[in-house]
Amino acid sequence: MIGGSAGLLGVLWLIGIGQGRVYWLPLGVLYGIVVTVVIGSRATDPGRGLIWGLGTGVLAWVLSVGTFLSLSSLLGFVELTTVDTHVPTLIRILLGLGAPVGLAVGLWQTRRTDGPLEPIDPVRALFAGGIAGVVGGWGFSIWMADVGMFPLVAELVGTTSPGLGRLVHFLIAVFIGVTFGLLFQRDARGHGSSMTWGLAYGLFWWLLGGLTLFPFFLGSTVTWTGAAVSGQLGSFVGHAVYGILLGVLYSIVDRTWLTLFYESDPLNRSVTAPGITVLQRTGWGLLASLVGGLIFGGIMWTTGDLVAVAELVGQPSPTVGFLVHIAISAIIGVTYGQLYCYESWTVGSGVAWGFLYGLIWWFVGALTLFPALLGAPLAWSGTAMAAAFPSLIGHLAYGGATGGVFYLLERRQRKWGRLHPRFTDRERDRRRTAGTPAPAAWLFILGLGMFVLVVVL
Amino acid sequence: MTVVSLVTLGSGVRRTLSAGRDPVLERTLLAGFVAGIVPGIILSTIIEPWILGVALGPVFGLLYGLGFGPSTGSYLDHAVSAAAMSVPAWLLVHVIGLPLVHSRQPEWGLEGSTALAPTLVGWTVAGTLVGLLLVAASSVLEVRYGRVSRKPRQPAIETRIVILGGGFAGLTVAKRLEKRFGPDPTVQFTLVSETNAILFTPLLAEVAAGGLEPTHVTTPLRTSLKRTEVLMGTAVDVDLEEGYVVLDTDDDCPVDGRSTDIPANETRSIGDSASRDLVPYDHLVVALGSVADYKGLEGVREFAFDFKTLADAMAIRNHVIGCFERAERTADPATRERLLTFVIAGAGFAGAEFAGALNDFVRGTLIHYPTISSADVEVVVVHSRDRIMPELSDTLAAYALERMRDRGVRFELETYLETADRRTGVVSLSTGKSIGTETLVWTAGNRPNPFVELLGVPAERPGAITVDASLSVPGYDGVWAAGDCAAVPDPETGTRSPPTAEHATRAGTVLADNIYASVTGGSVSELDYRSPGSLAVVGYQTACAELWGRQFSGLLAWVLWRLVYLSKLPGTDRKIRVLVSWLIELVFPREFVQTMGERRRPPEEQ
Repeated sequence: MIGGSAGLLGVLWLIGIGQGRVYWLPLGVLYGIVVTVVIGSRATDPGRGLIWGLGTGVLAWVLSVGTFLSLSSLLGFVELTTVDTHVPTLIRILLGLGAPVGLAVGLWQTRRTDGPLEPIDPVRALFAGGIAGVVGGWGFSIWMADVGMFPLVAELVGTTSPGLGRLVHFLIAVFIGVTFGLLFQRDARGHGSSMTWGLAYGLFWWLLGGLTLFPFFLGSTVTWTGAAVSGQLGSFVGHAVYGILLGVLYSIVDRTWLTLFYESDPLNRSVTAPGITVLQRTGWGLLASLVGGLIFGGIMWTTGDLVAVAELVGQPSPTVGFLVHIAISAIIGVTYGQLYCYESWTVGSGVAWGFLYGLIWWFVGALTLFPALLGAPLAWSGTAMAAAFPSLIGHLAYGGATGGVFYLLERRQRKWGRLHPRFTDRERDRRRTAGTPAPAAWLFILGLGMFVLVVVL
Repeated sequence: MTVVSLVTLGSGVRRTLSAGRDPVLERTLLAGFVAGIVPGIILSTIIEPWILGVALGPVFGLLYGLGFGPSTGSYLDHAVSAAAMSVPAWLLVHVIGLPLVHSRQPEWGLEGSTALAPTLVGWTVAGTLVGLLLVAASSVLEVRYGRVSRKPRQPAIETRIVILGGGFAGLTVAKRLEKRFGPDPTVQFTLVSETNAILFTPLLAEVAAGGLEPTHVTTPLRTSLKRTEVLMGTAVDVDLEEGYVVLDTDDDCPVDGRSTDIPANETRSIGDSASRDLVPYDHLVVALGSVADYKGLEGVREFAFDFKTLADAMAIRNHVIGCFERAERTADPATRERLLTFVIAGAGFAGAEFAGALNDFVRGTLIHYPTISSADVEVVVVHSRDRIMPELSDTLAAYALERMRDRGVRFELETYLETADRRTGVVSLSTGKSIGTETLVWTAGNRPNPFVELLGVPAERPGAITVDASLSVPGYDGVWAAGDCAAVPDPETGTRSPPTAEHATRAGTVLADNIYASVTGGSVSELDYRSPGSLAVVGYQTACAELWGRQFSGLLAWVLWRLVYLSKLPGTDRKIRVLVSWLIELVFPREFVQTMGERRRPPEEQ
């Protein structure tokens, strides 16, 4: 009922912005009902509902496109076997069906009192989310200032003043940050998962804000075609970087808050001092990154990117580049250890988090920091992203290997837990288990990211 | 995909090899393989040659099953997870792998990858099916062949190692054993200690002198150890034949009325609270340290403060402050003199360092007692030899003596303490001199813990357990000893190693390694430790050190002393607390709060 209504409303909204048809209404209801049945037990709050809605949205689109492509191929309609024509459908499913149905189911499930749902601390969410929103917005604003976006943003309030545009931009950033805190406080447990949730939320706002609401409120036609999306790739990376910053900053402020006002309470102190675990994670991250670094190094050797890396230290030699690359890998591996400890529940999930971390570093490192350090413009354009595509494969391989090896090293330590209940209890409290929306976040980010890159660019 | 393959296959193979036949792993492999068959058919429509696509489906299913495990989530979890994992799989197979198979360059460029977009859809669909079918296949197998589970194995405990004593030697042995055996559940460690914390004795003088807080120089044993069971108690008996230790239950009549005698064939679990007074062992480590030896001197036991424990240091501190408070208001000159005279028996390391610290404390406190002058206060050290601190070279010992005298400490060298009378407050010396005092601190002699006499093992004078260079007790398999209660042979001189924390720590490490070797069938090693030297602080910013044959004195030695002991102090938090205390001491007065009542009343009131 709830899901069907949300699906109906979603289609009505699509019709309202010119992206829907009246005869889709029954489909919307049907989609809502099916998705509610599928994600009902998992979408226990609005944040979880949203992520599951987006993940299953990507899945639904892939299944429908797969079916369509297969049928077209079987029936001989070769001209219909391209994927880019289906990009608008992907956005329609995500924004018109996945997100509203997920949010609605989550909201409804929150009302249930039979689950052990821990309460949200709204003050903490507003405070941490607000600060994180400001900092994330600042990161995004650098690119916006470069490309002269602020006058365009100011048009939302009827002027073209860059200053006012900047103010509007920061207000939106704070709003997104605050809603991030309210939606994901339960799931953004560590810095790594928070960053991943931030990336997913940033991409969601690229779809909702950059591709939809922004042109809508400016009075333009909302277009979701491949060509239109291709013109928004800078904004795509901007939203991704904003989301990453938002997630990691939120987590830092949130964890600090918890440390100062909750974990410092003698009733809530942990058995092991944080200093010990930091050292352990550092060692594991370092070891794991060597495996990932070697794989990535091999890819860079093949693609000839090592010389460019060597230019960071002014020595254009592949050997120097390899050494610099390994050093950077080690640093990133150490940060992986600090960010993603306790997040994996199987070796596969460790590999998946690693893929996400690799993707994050492609956005932050290859597209942003790397050109910035070399004095070049940010690689947030379609052309630059296309040039950096081999590096994306390397980043994913690096992340996956690092995440998997890190999990195995982490698991060795858990054997201690079998010896004493206090270790087992601590482990159970901290470790993420199956059933959270993590897989949906992976699919939404990896699926959307990859389809945008290979279909739209 | 390569990454997933390597990591998951490695993990799976390792599990299989280490655990033998693993029904869960076998079930997972089977379910994963079956789950990949239909997706393989889908992949065959987008992969050339088609047979490769058919083969890749089961491979993907198998790897996904190994990586995620079918029992770790629902249909939804696995459908979405596998769909997400199919994206990197597509990159590996379609963008890199297949071009290589067809002798082409990988499709690194975006243009090549863009042309492959429909295949990405195919991979994602196949991945989703793998996730769904994995759970379905696993459920079918479970219904058909029953549930399998990898229950955590709880192998029986094969080796029990009991450590008596939670000092430097005992704690080092326990920590080292934890490191060597890791989480091996077949070995159990138990540490029996009379206190629940290890005392960092090199800083004890600073506690007595108000420079450091008591808790800053002690670390709980339970936070220092990962898996060792800590029992607070006193060992009162041992049966070397049967292999068990009897602990003092602090209760003459056990609640359940049971006798402490145990049948020879009975083994009792340490975890059984009803029998925690009987601790069976396979290896016994005796590291009980030493106790004060009053050498039978009349009245000393009743009068003197020991200087070995935290309680001793606190009692001395409170007593000294009490002496000042009473001296401030007393009108009787003799009483006042007794109250302000502090006698320390012995000027080895402990006595000399304590005398220096106490001298600083009492003279630094004077400013708050306007009626007491510096001349009224006397710190007297009675020492039997003609030089203090025999562990140091003559030059440094002379330097220390001179500096301490300059700072106001009086020495009675080549003098023995003969009697002490608590009632009258007088100590008599071998020179015929008597000193009126309310405070006598004994550091002039120690002897091994009396428990070692119960062992009935060979002992050297004055009762220290004889051990060989491997720290084992000759003729007693599985009995080991280290620390102050053991006569550990010095590899350099062949004589007994000095009873210091440094030697106890080194011996503890070797001892633990040798127990590990004994249990695992390795060869034992011998203690081969040569001390780099000694450090002693004899007053504020005044110390002497002898390291690797080089001598240091004064401020530099004092800084070295603090750095060395700060680094050796267990626990990062303790290090920070002590460092902060030392920094505060630079600009603020020392603490002289009396935190509890004195342990005894002045003689005239008794």
